[in-house]
Order: sequence, then structure tokens, then C-alpha cells
Amino acid sequence: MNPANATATEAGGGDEYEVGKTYEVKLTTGIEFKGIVLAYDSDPHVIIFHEGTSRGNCKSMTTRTVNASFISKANLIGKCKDPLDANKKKCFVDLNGLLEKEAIAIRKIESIGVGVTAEAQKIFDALSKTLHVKWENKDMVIMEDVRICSPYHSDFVTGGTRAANDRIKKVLNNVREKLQLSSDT
Amino acid sequence: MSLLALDLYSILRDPLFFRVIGVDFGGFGDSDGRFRVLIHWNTLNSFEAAMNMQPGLPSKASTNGSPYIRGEREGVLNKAKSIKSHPANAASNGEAGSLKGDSRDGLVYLTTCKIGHLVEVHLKNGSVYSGIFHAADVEKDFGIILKMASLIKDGGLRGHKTRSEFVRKPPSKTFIIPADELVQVIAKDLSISSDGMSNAVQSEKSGELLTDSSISKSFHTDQGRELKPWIPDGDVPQGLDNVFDDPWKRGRGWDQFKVNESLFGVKSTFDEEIYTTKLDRGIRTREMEERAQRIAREIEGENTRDLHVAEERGFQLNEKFDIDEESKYSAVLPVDAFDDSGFDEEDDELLDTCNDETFGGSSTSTVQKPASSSGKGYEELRAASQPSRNNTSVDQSCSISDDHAQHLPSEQRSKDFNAPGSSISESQLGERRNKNNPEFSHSNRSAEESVSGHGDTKEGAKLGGGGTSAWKTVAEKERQVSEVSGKPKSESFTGQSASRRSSESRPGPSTSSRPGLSPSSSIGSLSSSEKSTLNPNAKEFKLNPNAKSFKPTAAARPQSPMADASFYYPAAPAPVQQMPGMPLGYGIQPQYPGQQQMIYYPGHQHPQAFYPPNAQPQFPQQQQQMMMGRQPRPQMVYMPPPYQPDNPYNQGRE
Repeated sequence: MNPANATATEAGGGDEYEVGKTYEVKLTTGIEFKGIVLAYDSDPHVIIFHEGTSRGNCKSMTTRTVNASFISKANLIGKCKDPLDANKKKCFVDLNGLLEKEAIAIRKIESIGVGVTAEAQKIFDALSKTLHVKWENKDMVIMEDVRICSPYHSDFVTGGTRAANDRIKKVLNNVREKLQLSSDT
Repeated sequence: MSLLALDLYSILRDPLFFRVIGVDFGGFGDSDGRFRVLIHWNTLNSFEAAMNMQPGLPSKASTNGSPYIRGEREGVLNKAKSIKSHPANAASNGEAGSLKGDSRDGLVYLTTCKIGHLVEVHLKNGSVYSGIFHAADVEKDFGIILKMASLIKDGGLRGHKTRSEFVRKPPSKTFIIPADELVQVIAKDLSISSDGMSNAVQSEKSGELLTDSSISKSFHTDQGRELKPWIPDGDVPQGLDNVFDDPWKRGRGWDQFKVNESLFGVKSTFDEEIYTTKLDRGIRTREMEERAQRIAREIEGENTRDLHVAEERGFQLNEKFDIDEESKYSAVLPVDAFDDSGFDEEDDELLDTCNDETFGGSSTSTVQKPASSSGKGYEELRAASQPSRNNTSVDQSCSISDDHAQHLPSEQRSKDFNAPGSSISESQLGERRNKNNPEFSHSNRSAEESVSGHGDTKEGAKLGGGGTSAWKTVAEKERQVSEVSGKPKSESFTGQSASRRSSESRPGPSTSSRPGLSPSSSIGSLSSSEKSTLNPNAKEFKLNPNAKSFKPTAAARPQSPMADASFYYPAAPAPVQQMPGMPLGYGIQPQYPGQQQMIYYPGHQHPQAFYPPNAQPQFPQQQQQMMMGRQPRPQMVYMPPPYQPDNPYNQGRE
């Protein structure tokens, strides 16, 4: 794969990006940054940089995974020791944890309504503390049963059994009260 | 160039194993309707793929005949449960391992750490997408997949749109970015630690609905049988249908506290923090949480021999699957072989002695079987069974510990167990105690075994290792065929906290089954145990020379929680942090097969199992005195002791 606008892949920095080398990098898209090389592989030709020039705290870092093909310029500005100490020790990755993390992140994003007002989002968040609510376009759907349409007050609650419907109405009113929203927004 | 579709299933299973399969672009691959890949080639610069995946599909993802190697996936599946995986290994199912050695390793490792993280991806054309990093093809050319990706900045447009404008469009569920479009991936605040703690889930589950049952339930167990709603016969009084339907009425119509205050002037002083432990959400919270999670996972992943624990964790202990619920949860296991780990004779004696005193030398005093099943509930069980065993000698020992184990959640194993126990047992326990009770499973068995059915001093329950003194004591008692008369005695065991501290005192002197299990013996062991376990407030033990000796009548008596009403329970002094005195067995009752012990007291007709499950009676420490002498037993007044909320399952590692 040869991206059309790829410039010399080995521009600057020379051939080998070694772990620990600090570069100032400029990409073909115009982005510039400085980073320490954390990992590099020439087969996928990708370099992972640790942003910033100092080793700093290993716990939390900003990493950039850069496709080396897009590096237009990389100036070696320093070298430091293995930033991760990782190569010597075994690195463990908690797969299950990661999977959970991903699931949670996805759920979080899903909980953000698209194109809804901030107030609606607040209502949604409050409801989701005790109910399973999902966005469906601009409607909130609770337990796949009851639906609340814009503008999200109790007149617009439809669906579900009578009891559920009433309950949701009450909950909604409560939520609104708590949020101190007027009931005809 | 052909598009690459991802075998999401395998990727989900093992993110480290990035496998990319070729798919025809523009195609609509439909494999049995299970896995559809829609690829819009022309609409976007990058590709958006909508995958319909059903869980558990063995995925014929390679609809389009790409070279997907089944074997790899299967290999991968095994890893799904593994907590740790060496990056190099994972990538190598069927591959030639980490081909590039270290450099590839580093890459794979770091890339893996990004999974689940919100990243920004810059594309060749300047567009920037933000999404959750899902997978990357490390083998070939580093195409990546994002989930819930949304465009932040569009490279194609001249001007800058504000972010909010981009939000109009819902995020794409799965977003594939081929390698040649990919310029860079920025992951901010990635937490990486090379010792294995990395990337634990932020237990920021606040956004999720968490009910108690869902929190505490193990995701390994199946949900049990299918429940059917109850349909009333027709005799049901009307008007009850919607009683519980409206939880919100409460908030509006009836505030019990206000009413109470107005009517009776009672001010509520409820403070939640009295009953729970306030979480210290400080700076290091995340680390602590991660650590706690890791430990929790390790614990849960351990092997166990205990039926119930195994069930909770999802292991299949029993090969014969025809075991019905009754035998799993209710039946009383016969007292036969178990391998115990050296329960001593005198333990038995002590126990029996206690028994006798408590129960008036009843024949079939059954000792409650300690929770054989679970290491977790174990101590409590043990503790529970203690109580009524009043044994002179035991008594003394009981007073020993005032180290009441607190039942602390998390990270507590047997340690926090407060159980009345004899010093002897304690010391014995102490010997065997180690943090991780490898012998726990043994103990389990032994627990069962420790039926006092045998009047002799048998080892009986060799409560293996880690038990707390509580259980040792219990076991001992069970064993004992003491001749202590069963007088109504008040249970006054001071709990002995899991005496990890318990020194390696030598095992208590072996004694005959005489109640007089000489105070000396207990004293002896007493002295050998740590002083700190002495309860300074304990009443002095007084030997009752008239104590009747106890002889069990039946050979195999099921054990029963002694706690039962044999003692009456004088008002418990407040500061009792006791260890659950007794009926641990009850507490955990339904779950452990071993525990169905019925206590047969001579003086009482029926086993009074009036302990609500999980109630743990606590015996006032001071009260070590069991009532000696023949006193008519007062009516069993069981006053539920201040119940310390504690988790019977916090036994931790088994």
C-alpha cells in the first residue's frame, strides 16, 4: 500500500526507530508533535510514541500510534532509556478487564442522545439511574416498553402496561421536579 | 484493493488476536444470516461496516471465502477467560508467534492496552474520528476498528464545523479504518503499568443500573430454573394487586420519619455510614479499585473443591450431572471419609464437652456441620456451631480471644472471623493456618465429618488450614463426646478472631472425653496463644463438677448448629464485635449440603431453626460463662444479637 502522498518513509530520523529515542515528528498531514518511541515494528510500519519528551509518569500517558508512512520528518532530539521497562519483564494484559472496559465505554456513548437537547439528556441520565433506558432516535425507550417522546413530559409517555406507564409518568415527574425543569419545556 | 472485514467474534474473544479476513468489498456477505457485512465503499472515505452478530456464533465469517483459519479461533477461545495473557502468546495462535520478537511485542502490548479506550484517529484526508478502540490488525498493516466512532473533524471540508454539528449524526457502531488511511491514533491518558495491573476497568459503573442481586451475583452461574409467575387460585383477597406497583407514592404521600416526628417527637438519627463503610474516594481510588478488582478476579478464579463455591464461580465440580437440587443443596452428607488435616482428638473432646454442657448431655446432640461447602462461609459456620458447646475448658479458651474478627469485606479471608473457639482449637488452628487455606477443601470435608456421632475422640473434622479458630473449635466440639452435662448454659463464647495471629501453639493436650477437659489444658493452650486474644472482660470460668457427661446415642448424627436456642442470651453488651457465634450453619444454611444439621436437644423438642439465614448471633464476649449447674433452661429466648453486617462469603480464598 502506497499512499499517494506518502513521502519517503524513512525520512528523517534515519532507518531505525529505536525504543527510547525521542523524536520531533512532523506528519504529512501537518501535525507535529514530540514523542518518545515506545514501540516500533517495521512490518506494519507503525510507531507508537509516548507524547512528550520526558519519561514522566508511566501510569498514564498519551500515546500516538503513527503510521510511519505518513511521517514526513522526524528529527532525533534525544534518547532516553526504555520508557516502559517493559521489554525485560513480562507484560500482562487483563483481557477480561479490557473487554469490560470496552463494554462500559460503549454503553456510555450509547447513552448520549443524538440531536437532543441538553435538558433531554439530563432527563435521560436521571432516568437511567434506576431504569433501563435507551435512546431511539429522539425518543427514550424504557425497558423496551414505554416510550417517551419529545418534549419528554408525562403527557408523552406511551406504551407499556397501565401500571408501568403510570409508574414511568410518576418517575418522570419526579425527575423533572428534581431537575427543576418546568413541565412544559 | 479488497476490504478487510473483521472477524469480530474472534476479536471480541481475544482482542490480542487480531485476525483480519478478506472480504469482497461492496459485497453483502451473508453467512446463514448470522453474520452480515455491509460495506459501503463509495460513500465514505473510510468504511463503515454494520455487523450483525449473534452471540456464540461460530462465525462463518469468512463468507467470502477468505482464508480464515478456524483452528485459530478455537485456540483463541480458550483465552477468553484467562486473565493474563502474554501479548506475544496471544498473537500466535497458529501463527509463528511473535515474528519480530521484541519490537512486535511492544507494539502488540501497547495496542492491546488501548482496547476499550476512547481514541482519536486521524486519517489521511484530515478527518478525525473519535471512537472506542476495538481491534487492530497487528499482523499485517495495522488497519483498525473503532466502535461508536463519530467524526470530529472532517477533512474534506474547508471550514471548521463545530463539534456540535457533528453530533447530529449518530455514531457508527463499528468503523473500520484500513491501514493506508490511517495516519495516527491518539490515546489520551492511557494507563499502562507493566506489572499486570494495567487497564483494569474503571469501576465507574455509575452509569449502569446495578441492583444488589446483580452486583453480588456471579456471572458464571446459570440463572436457575425458569420462573413462572404465580397465579392465584381465586381465594386471594382482592385489592392486593397493585400494592407494590407504585414506588413513588412513598416519596410523595407518606414520609414515615416526618410522621413519626410529628406524632411522637421521635427524631430520626439515621446515618447511612453507621451501617456501611464509607468509601474513601481519594486520589488513589482508581488504583485501589483496580487492585481490588484484580484480587477479586483472582479469588474468583481459583479452584475450589467446595461444591457451592465452585458453583458460584462457574466450575463444574461434579462429573455426574444427575445430581438434583436436593442433593446439591439440602441433603445431609453421610459421615464418611474425608481427608482431614489433622484434627486433633482433643478438639473433639472439647467440642463434645461443650455440647454436653449446652445440651444437657443429650444423646443426639448434633453439631452443626461447618460449612463444608464453602470456604467462604466456613468460618462463620464454624463459629456458629460453637456457641452452645459449653465446655469448661472451652470456656476458658473462649475467653481468650477478644480479638473479634471484624468481618470486613474484601480481602478478608478466614481472618476476620470471630468465632468462639477454644483456645485449644485456636492454637491448633493457628498451626495450620495460613492465609491461603490450601487445605480448606479438606476442611470442608472434615467439617462434614466432624459429626459428633462418634463418641470417641476421632480426629473428625480436621479442619484444615486456614480455618479460623472458630472452626477449629467447632470441629473440636463436634468431636467431643464429652460428658459434660448439658445444662442450660448461656453461651458465652467470646469470639476468637481468626487467629492468624494464633501462634503456633502446640496442639492442645489430648484429653479424654472428660469435660473437665481440664481447664488446665485449655489454660495451657491459652497461654500459648497470644495474649492479645484474651478478653479481659471475660468472666471467669467455673467448672461445674456436676456436669453430666454426654453420650451420643446415634452413630452418625448430623450436625446441627448449636446455636440454637440452647442458651439464652443475656442482653448483649453493646460493644460486642463478635464473631458470629453460632449458627453459622444457619446462616448459610440452604446452601451447604453439609449443614443441614438438626440439633436435637434433650430438652427441646425440635430443632429450632429460628435463625434467619445469615443472621449471626453474636455472643457477648464477656459472657463466656456458660451457665453451669442445672438450671432450668429459660425459654429459648433468642435475641438476635446486633448483627454485624458481614458477608459470609468473604472467606476469600479457599
